[in-house]
Amino acid sequence: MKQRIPEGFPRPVYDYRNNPLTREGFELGRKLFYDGRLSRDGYTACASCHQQFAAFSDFQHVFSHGADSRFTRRNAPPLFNLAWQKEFHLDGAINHLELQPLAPMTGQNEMNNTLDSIIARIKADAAYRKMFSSAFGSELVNTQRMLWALAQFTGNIVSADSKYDRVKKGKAAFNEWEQQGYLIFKERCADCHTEPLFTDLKYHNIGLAVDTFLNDFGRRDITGDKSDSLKFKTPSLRNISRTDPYMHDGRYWGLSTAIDHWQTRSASDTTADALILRGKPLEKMEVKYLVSFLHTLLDSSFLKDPMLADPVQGNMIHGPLQ
Amino acid sequence: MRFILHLLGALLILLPLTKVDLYAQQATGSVIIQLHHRVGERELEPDSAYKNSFGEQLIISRFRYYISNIEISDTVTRNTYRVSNQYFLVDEKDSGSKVLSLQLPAGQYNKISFLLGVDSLKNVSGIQTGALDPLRDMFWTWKSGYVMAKLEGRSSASTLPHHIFEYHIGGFNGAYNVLGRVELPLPAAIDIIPGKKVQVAVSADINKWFAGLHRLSIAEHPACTVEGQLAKRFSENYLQMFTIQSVSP
Repeated sequence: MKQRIPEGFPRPVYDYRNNPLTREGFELGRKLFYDGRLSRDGYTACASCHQQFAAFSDFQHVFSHGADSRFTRRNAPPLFNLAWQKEFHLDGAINHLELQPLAPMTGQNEMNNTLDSIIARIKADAAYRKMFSSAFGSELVNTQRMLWALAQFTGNIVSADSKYDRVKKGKAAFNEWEQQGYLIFKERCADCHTEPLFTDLKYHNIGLAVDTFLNDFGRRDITGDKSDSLKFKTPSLRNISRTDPYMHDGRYWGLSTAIDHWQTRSASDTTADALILRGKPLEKMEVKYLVSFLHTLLDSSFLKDPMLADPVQGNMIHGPLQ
Repeated sequence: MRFILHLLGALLILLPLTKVDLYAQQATGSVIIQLHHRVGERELEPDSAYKNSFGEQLIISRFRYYISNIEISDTVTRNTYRVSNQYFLVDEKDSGSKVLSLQLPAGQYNKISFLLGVDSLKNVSGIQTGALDPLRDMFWTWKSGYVMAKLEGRSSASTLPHHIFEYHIGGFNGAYNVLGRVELPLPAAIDIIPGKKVQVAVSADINKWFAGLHRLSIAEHPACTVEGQLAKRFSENYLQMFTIQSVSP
């Protein structure tokens, strides 16, 4: 199996050099991704909060429900084009694609499990042992193989077939509103939402006041550097019309509300990045054009790609386990 | 041309063999490092109570640390043998883990040094296995990186629930990088000759966690579980905990 690298994309950060990609490894990763048994209560799979039809975000949820009715503290990000990310989580806490699943697996408000218990459950399942054998040459089940398999799946969740992409290849054309919106996007948004990934993969403070209940200071809590206060990683704008609500804490519903953030943000908010302070408000029509353009970033074939779907319908519902 | 091809073929066949031979030639003797954990002068035993320099009570329930990048060298000839890609998780509860067996080429050596912790490269290279498997409970899942050393227990001096103290020391980059090399000069040079086994007893004094370069009492610092200045200070303390106890023969 070959890594999915869309035409025009830069070289991926994660390239399977140390984790040779095979169809069997990918299929094993896919099964793990959709398996609720990875969580303590047996119900909560990766896919519970990363649903394909929502571009692998948690559809219409401000915060996600973890195992045992707990809630997360951030809006679940959509998952795609992960092989181009240098760091994971909105604060960049995780430095490698293979390591990322450890956080939700062991997070008390997410899957709330332990690695011992996950490995034991996988080992006890003959179907899994067979899949480990076809993917890695023996029935040995360990953390490394499990996370390698997951990276074979997650690194190939690729989205690059939106109307925008077809326009770029000359296979489709923007209508007038979309075209106007694209020009506004390039002038006003593209510095951070850089094409073709639609993110610069950097951390910015966009002037969102801290929620005094969550007290989430983003990147600062990872680096310990005061100048990183309230900085979060620029999210990709691909599939953005499917990942409502917006911002790290899901505070805004609807694309125009999210865009309005830049209209109403007080100019005296000096903690925000200079790039954001420089902006001037958009006209009402400009917002409409921009929203039209953002809709062209929806990749409907990706949302239905059978290769990325649940391999066994109903696989996610297993629990409760003793 | 044909001759060259034959020669290449022969080389390809010989290559693996020569590699094995070289290894056999290289690894001729061994150094066995035996780690002894203690508090001050007293050997560490399960559930026993000890006192640190502050007179604070110590009951130790967990003591584990990584040793990697071991080098055995000679400061005169500058001959250095590097043990690459071997990571040892030393655990007080597992006596086997306190014996580090190293094969090394013949020669004279008068110093042992090692990195206390897991080097930064392995901290950014994805999922590892063996001693570095996150299953070993020495890896931070909420912020990627290894816990280099752990010390947990109870003390009447602690203000935390159940009077616990808990030190998980990590951080592999930036200002609060806790990685450091421990340099242990041997009391006399050792001669490694084929088949010879040299036993080096190294003791690790837990009291140094509290009274090393910095004075860190349990009353004042009952816990340190994130990277930062305090973790850095604890690391500067524990880097001083090792001494050579004896070398034989």
